[in-house]
Amino acid sequence: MFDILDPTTTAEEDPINYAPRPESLNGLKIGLVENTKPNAEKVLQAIANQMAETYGTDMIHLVHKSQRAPLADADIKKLQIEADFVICGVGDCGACSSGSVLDAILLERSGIPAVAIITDRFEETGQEMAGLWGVPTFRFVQMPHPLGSLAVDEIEDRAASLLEKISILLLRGQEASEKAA
Amino acid sequence: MADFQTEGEVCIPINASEQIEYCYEKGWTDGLPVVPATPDLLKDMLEAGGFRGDEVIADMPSRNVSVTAEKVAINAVMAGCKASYMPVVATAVKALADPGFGLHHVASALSGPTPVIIVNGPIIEEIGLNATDNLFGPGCRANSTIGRALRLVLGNCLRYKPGISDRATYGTPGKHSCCIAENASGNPWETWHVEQGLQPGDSTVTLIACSSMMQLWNCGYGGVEGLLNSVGDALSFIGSIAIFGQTPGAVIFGGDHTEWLKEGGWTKNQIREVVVENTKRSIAALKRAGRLEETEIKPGDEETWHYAMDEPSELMILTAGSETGHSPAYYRVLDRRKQPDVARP
Repeated sequence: MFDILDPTTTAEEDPINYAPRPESLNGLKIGLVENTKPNAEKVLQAIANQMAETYGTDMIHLVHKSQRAPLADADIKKLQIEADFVICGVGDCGACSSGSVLDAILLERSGIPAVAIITDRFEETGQEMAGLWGVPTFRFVQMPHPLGSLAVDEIEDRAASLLEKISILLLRGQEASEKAA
Repeated sequence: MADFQTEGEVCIPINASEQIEYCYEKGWTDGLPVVPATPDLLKDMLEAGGFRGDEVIADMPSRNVSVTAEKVAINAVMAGCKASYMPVVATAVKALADPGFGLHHVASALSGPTPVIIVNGPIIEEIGLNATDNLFGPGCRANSTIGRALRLVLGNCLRYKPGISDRATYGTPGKHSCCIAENASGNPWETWHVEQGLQPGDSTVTLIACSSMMQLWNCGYGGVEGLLNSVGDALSFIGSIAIFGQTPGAVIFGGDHTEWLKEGGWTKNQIREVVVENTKRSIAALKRAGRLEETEIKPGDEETWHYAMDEPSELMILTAGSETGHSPAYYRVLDRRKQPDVARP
């Protein structure tokens, strides 16, 4: 007999109690977590501006976060106090796409409705990160790649095209959005 | 695929080739054949490192996983390590988890860096690490397999898989394995770990994250100043991902260059000052290369400087490689983190 040992570690399913959803987005406070990628902040700001026009929301807190590590506990605590919901992104590479998905998962675990935005080339990378954290069906919003070379008017168009998807995730939550899909 | 007998995650294959193929089928390899890990080999590896199997070597915050000594040892066996290498492999895994290393970016970024393991201290001789000829090349089991073990841990334990979670555009050959030792003999300066406040008798592992290595050719026509100008130029090449990050650099001096610097009485800090001064690029040059969002060249841009490095102390200087030759090696470093000591039983 010749036993071969398994070198891998495995992730266990670890369902999240997702944050309670608001009845509407009207007048709520938005937190943004931007990942320092070129144009990421511009896209998030454009979304925040368009949400302000549509729902009367306020952009309250902007976190600049590197791609090196997950969102810091101190930032999560501050967002818990200051924001009603958070938008994370925009992921357009291996580290930042999975990182933005992870940030949204951590925020949801902390009781804050959160949405991650990544470009469509990195869907599998985002899903893999969600799987590692025990929520393989975690949903995030995708936009067309690329991000860094977008012109100003293209940024506004991208933001407009994402508003409905973001709003659905924020209002219905992960499970309801999945059923709706 | 061969018809394997399996019991859960344990397989009972028939012969060596089937054992190796089984590991391929399971997705456990880096593309090269691995040594199938058996309970006897695992036991030897754990004993050599002085670990219990369930001992947690490192918690990886971005990966929601704790890596145990057992998993590190299994991967070390698969990489081809001798049991005596286990303390170095385990220390390198600990260093991966240090928040200062920024593992998630290193392991998954489009820029495709690799962790480089740098070993100092008496363990170099104890386990036969190479610090001289063909430093980054093939030929030395310890260098080749220790670096590979770290790669297997990244893939198998931390699940950084090419094309899925590791999205490097090109990667680099160093991602297969990259482990070197610093050469203490003939070193004109204190070795890296002594410079950091440790004792010569301590053994240490340092990780740096590098997207690429460059070798330079300089026969000394411009003296040491010319040599160091070349080093600064290599650390600030116009397409470098790190040119705006103010990240550290690393330079490895070997061959004749070490002798020139030694004969000239150059200290490490003097070298650093001259090198960093030579990492400057004009704003105009950066604009011409499309490295700045603004592209219009304005008056004064040719004489306004951006320094790829702005802190001389951030330049890591090592001595290693062949005793002959004119080619120091340079890494543009994304990050680095030192683990203070290799724990040995």
